[in-house]
Amino acid sequence: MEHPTEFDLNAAVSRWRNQLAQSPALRAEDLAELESHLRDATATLASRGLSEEEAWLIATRRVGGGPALETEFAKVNRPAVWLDRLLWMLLGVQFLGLAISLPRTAADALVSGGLVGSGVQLGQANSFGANVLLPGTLFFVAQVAALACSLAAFVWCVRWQGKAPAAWLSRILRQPLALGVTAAGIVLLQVGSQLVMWLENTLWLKWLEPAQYGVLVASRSGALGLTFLVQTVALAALTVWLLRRRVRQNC
Amino acid sequence: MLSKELVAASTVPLVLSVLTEGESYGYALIQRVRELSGGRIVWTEGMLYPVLHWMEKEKLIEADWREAETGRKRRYYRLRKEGRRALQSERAQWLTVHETLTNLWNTQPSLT
Repeated sequence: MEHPTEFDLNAAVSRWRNQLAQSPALRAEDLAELESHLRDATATLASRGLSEEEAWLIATRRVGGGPALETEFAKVNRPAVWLDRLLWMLLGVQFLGLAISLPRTAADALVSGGLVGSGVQLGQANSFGANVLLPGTLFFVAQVAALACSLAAFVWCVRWQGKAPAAWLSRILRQPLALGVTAAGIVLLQVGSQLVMWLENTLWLKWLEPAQYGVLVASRSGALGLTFLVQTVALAALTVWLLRRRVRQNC
Repeated sequence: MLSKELVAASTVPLVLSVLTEGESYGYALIQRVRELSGGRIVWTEGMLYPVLHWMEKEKLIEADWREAETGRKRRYYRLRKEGRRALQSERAQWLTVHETLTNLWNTQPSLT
């Protein structure tokens, strides 16, 4: 027969507390008070003859589930909850910005490099439109492919629920050092991405003749305009998908 | 047994009243009210602690951490002057409602 594992009250309390700590609605003070309450309740029940584990189970069940507690505390801790939401919004904007701009910068650089390197004579056709058509199409295809990669990575993150990335991210981001490093990282990546674009532009400006450079830049910008339209639709679709998923989860 | 609205409305006056018996902590408050009501008013932790937090913000009560007999820390609450005044006001309001209702019910035997 298996030896039953000893019930460790302190470990159970820690587990319970860590799980609730993820919610912004509960301050550290609230958690401490609830913990003290739970210990009192467990002790009382145990003194009536229940085992410590049984007493703990009943006490936690009476206290109520995490979501119910969060809702009640959120009503009185509104500022903390909103601050938390703003933080996530800001982080989301920056992460999304990076997730989309990095692959696109790479795609643009690749296509530009490919066009110039292949020796294709830009700007040889008679009309401006004809000149821009081929490079423009190449840019567009590459940029949409890059966008698809960014969004696929995002969808994969959402589907990767088994490993609870949100809880992990939450824990890391509550430590000031990790938060600072993440913020600095985001800024550096954005700056780096901009530098690459500037560098690339400068190179083409130096190596290409004005007409060729004009065609390159015009086709890239034109493609970008179209890609942006695709991006807007894709993000809207993604938002609707996530909303429906969330609604289905809460039902 | 009591409607949600009644439980919510009666929480503040009940807490204030129980605290006139002396300072107390969350768990004890729940037990005392359950005892006083003969088991008909059972507060949940999720309901009581946010209210206590609100009452503290409104300066009706004040609290501090103290070491309990178990050795662990506990948060003890006690009435403030403003709390006693608020209690008087609550008492007057509840008695008004009570008197009006009992008058009605006494003069209208069809209701019993």
